[in-house]
Amino acid sequence: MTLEDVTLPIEVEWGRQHALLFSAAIAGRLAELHAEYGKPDCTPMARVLVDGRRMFTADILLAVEPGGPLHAMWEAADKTILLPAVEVVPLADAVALLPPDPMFD
Amino acid sequence: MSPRLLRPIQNTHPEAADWANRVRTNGGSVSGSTLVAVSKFCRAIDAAGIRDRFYRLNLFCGASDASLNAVRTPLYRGQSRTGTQYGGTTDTNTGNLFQQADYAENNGLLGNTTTKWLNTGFNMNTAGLTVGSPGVHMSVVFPAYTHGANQNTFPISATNAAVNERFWLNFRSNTVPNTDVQSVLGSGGSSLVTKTIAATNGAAIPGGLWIVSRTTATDLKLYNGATEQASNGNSVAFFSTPNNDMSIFTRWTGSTTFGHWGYRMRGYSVGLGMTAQQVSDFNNAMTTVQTALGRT
Repeated sequence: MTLEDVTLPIEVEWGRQHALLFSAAIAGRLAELHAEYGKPDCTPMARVLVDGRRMFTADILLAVEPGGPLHAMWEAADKTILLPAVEVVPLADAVALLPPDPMFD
Repeated sequence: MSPRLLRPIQNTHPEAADWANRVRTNGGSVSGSTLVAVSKFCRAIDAAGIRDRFYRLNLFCGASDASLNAVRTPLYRGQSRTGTQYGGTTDTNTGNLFQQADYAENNGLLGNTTTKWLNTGFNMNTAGLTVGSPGVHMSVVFPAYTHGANQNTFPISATNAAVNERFWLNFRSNTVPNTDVQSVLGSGGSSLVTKTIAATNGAAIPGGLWIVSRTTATDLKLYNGATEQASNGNSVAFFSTPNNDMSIFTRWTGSTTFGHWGYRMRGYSVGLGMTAQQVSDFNNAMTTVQTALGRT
């Protein structure tokens, strides 16, 4: 499943239970878009998974709705490239790929 | 008629009024009842003589909107309204971005265990905080919750990635099994405070104010509310305070995050060390404002 298969607006709980996975190249392009269209006090920063892919929880899609902090950035994105390049998976599948948190004595 | 009779009575504390103005400048809004609650909080802090203990404090309140503009505007950004201000004008919504659905004024701001955090822009080292007298404190406020299994979490943290500087509150559970709260405000080793919550991997965590305070190099105490939970009188190594921005809801190393705290938070503070009496006074003010905001 990719972002092409997702209908906006999403439901909040669905967004919290799914993750968006994408490549470093897509992350770089999104960072460029944010630099041009985003707000400086709302800074998306994806987690890096152990396989090098980047991850957001899918509820970030709430922020692309009209009035949301990422709306302008979303509108400027080339959806023909972005949507098929973002995989949508259950959150647990992405969490399994997060680097382990170190413990401290 | 005297023009003075036509002027509204000004009961709003200047710092609460200033906060409301900054919220509006940031695109947010504040209800009258919230402004009254925040104003009373400011007066209680002043009356207790502890205003100078706070370098930064956010009550996570105000009206909800898509960008959470009010919620991310700290009430205090320095030891006084007119003195040096520290850190960002707002807490930057970072990582996955907190959404409007994550916030309710009567319940606080909800994190997740993977991606969401706030960057305060507050640098403890630049602000001049040290581990020696008058020391440093960090605090968070949240409702009681059940800490999940195998979670090493940092609701508030400031650190440098390369050295053993540990300025944080660390709520953690593991397979020992154990669930505890740990802090040090300095280096690690023998100067830690640790409060064991339960001998289980995950447990119910009492809510309210959790504050760790170091008033000298040999006085570190952890409190829940006004009640001391743990203390340590061993001498802490005098590491300088961290140069990385203080983060909320995670540990930010300057390049990555981990230990996201996936629960609901109702405020945080950082500043100078506090005595037990000062913690008690702070707890009273914090408890009152949380109740006034409808947070039970």
